[in-house]
Amino acid sequence: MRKFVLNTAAIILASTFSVASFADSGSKEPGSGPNPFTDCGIGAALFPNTHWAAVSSNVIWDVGITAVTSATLSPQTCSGKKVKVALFIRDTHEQLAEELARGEGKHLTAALDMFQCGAGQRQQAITTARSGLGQAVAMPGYAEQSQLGHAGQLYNIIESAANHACAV
Amino acid sequence: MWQKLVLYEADSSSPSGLRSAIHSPEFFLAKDGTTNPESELQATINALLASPTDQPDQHAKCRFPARLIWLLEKLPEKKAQLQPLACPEFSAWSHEKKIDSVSLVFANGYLGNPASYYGHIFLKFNDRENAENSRLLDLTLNFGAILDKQDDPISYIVKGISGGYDGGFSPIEFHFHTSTYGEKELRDLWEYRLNLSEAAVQMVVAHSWEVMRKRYVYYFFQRNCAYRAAELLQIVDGIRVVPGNQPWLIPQTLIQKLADTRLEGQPLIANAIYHPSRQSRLYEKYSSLSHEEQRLISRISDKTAILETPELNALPMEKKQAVIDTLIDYYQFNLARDSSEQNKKAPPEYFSALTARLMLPPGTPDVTAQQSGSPERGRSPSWVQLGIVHTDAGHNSQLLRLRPAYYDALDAGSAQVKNGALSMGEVQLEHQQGKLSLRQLDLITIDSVNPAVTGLPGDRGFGWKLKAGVEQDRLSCRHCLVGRLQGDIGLGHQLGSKWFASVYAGGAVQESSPDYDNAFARLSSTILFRPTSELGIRMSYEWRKPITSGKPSHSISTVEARRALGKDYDVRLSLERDQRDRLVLATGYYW
Repeated sequence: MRKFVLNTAAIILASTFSVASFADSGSKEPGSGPNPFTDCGIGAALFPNTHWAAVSSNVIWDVGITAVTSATLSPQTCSGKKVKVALFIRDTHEQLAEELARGEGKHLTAALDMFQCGAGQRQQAITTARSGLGQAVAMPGYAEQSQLGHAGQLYNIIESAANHACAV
Repeated sequence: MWQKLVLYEADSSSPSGLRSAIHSPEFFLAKDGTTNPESELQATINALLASPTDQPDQHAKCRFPARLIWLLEKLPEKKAQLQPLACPEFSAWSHEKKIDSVSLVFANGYLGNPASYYGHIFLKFNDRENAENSRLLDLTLNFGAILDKQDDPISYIVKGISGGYDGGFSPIEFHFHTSTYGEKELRDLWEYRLNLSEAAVQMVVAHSWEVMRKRYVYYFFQRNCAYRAAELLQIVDGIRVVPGNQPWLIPQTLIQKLADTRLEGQPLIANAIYHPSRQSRLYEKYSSLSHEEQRLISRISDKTAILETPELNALPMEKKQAVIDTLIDYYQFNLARDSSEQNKKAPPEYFSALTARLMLPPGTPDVTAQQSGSPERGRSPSWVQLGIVHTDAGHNSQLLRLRPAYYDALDAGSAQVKNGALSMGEVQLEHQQGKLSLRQLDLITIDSVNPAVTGLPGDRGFGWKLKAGVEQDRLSCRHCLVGRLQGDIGLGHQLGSKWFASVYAGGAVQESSPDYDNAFARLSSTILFRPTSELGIRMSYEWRKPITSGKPSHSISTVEARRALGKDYDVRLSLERDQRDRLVLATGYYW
């Protein structure tokens, strides 16, 4: 029992530190709502230690689903939809950043669709997000951040751009 | 139809002669439903007719929507009582009935993991409200073995083959697969959108809901991803795509079967969509650059030039964008190929390239991903060859060669590793003067080659070979079978579009033999020439040095030419030299 408590405490601490490492540096728009990476319990726990066999033996048993469910249970801070976007950005943040750099791409379209940003406003949102990413990568220490850190920042950048460009 | 809905399979140990492929208790409504179709049918009818409670998701109508669809058809007199309920969980999962088509997605083979050697297949449900470029959000259903704990590689293979794992369908969005297969494992995906009616799509979706997260027994060779995906499609009347009586089912076989199938007079495959991997995209972009631009990339990647070099700045904008985009792909490709650590981070150079790209105007230089050929149009995976053999000693014989699957360096197609080889259970028999003898039996042969199209650091063609089986000790000897385990590592390089060259160093351990005792070391080189897609020539040279016996070294040379005769046949001429010369002319049939 004692071992279990210690292990649990260690996991919570580790998750807290890994999340905190980018939480402060994210360019979160006031009023944009919670960032699921920092506020909905999506942290290192969503990066499962993939076993060499598990990665490609085609076994994907509820990756992320548990987190979506548990996050949905906290209606004050998170919605299932936001967590869904977070999972998408977690898995594809590199392609998203590269498409932002090129100014177009299917991951980018999908992400903006998830933020309810329609075709009419998409280009403006991309321009805004492109500028936001340009500022983020130019910050000292950006390259040293974790993948989760990059994903969390990108979430903020795209959400903020969508809020600016696509608000109804 | 009822047997299909409950996945009953023949089982002599069952009183009914049938047993469901699923063994999760929650999949059955009768106590003996696993083995008793009649009992399960009656229990299903009773449950579907039961009054709804305040928990509709728990009602049989919500748990078994495909059974409900079928019974609505079969019991018209109960139509009023069998009207569907509002099922919040099923509706949410099935995108509120907005799924308007079903695709089968094929991932090509991957030699980084035994479970993926033969490729993979999963189902994709296409939401009509997702625009074409938002298909990443579509839902997929993926059948795989369930690893409850981490096994060592040997246990993993043995249990995977022998039914030691449960298997099941898991739901996840398509972007998870494009990321895992396309970006991390560098595997191309081909998506085949099926020509199904609205009712057929609804039936497949409803049946998928019923079997999702239920437990099957997983068998790597037969009851695998391809089999279970095909089984889900076969819930639609008129679709028969599981090949009968074959002890193995390779995903590519299923794709080819789909391509040959017509449903209600229409081809079952409506269209095919290619999703190139990071590696394919890199190679396409790199190949589209001029030699000067390629040299520039080479200098930046090996750090003899910086990204801000005047040569790059002097390029026209579109060329500058193309060079930086190629560099970005290169750094990510290298990262994916690096197996040294988990949770890897991109190098600083990647972020420099990203920053540089963000400072250029937006815009994507036009590079179209070229497919070398679609898997559904390729040859079948199994191969049998008949030939005549002549040796310089004047002996003539007949050769029979059987390779259940999959490919060698001369016939690897788009679904396989180009210039590589993969086979299991290949056997060669020779008939001479009325006697049939075993010439060779390969338990497994793998040539994992890398084309090194760019030749950049990290893409310099590291490859490895593994072979285990029984073969003649020397070419000149017809009755000297030895068990042998061989391994090599080396480098390969694609030279233009038609030539591929490789060099390897390695050796073998074996049963004691007159020439090698228990082991030999070797150096080998191979040149492959493909002047056309139908013609290929392989020239190889091998130098062997017995390790333990102190006997002199010797060399073996081989030249083999292959000409494809349509999709299903080939003819090969080969000459081997090892003390003796052996000439073989043979024709092969793919099935």
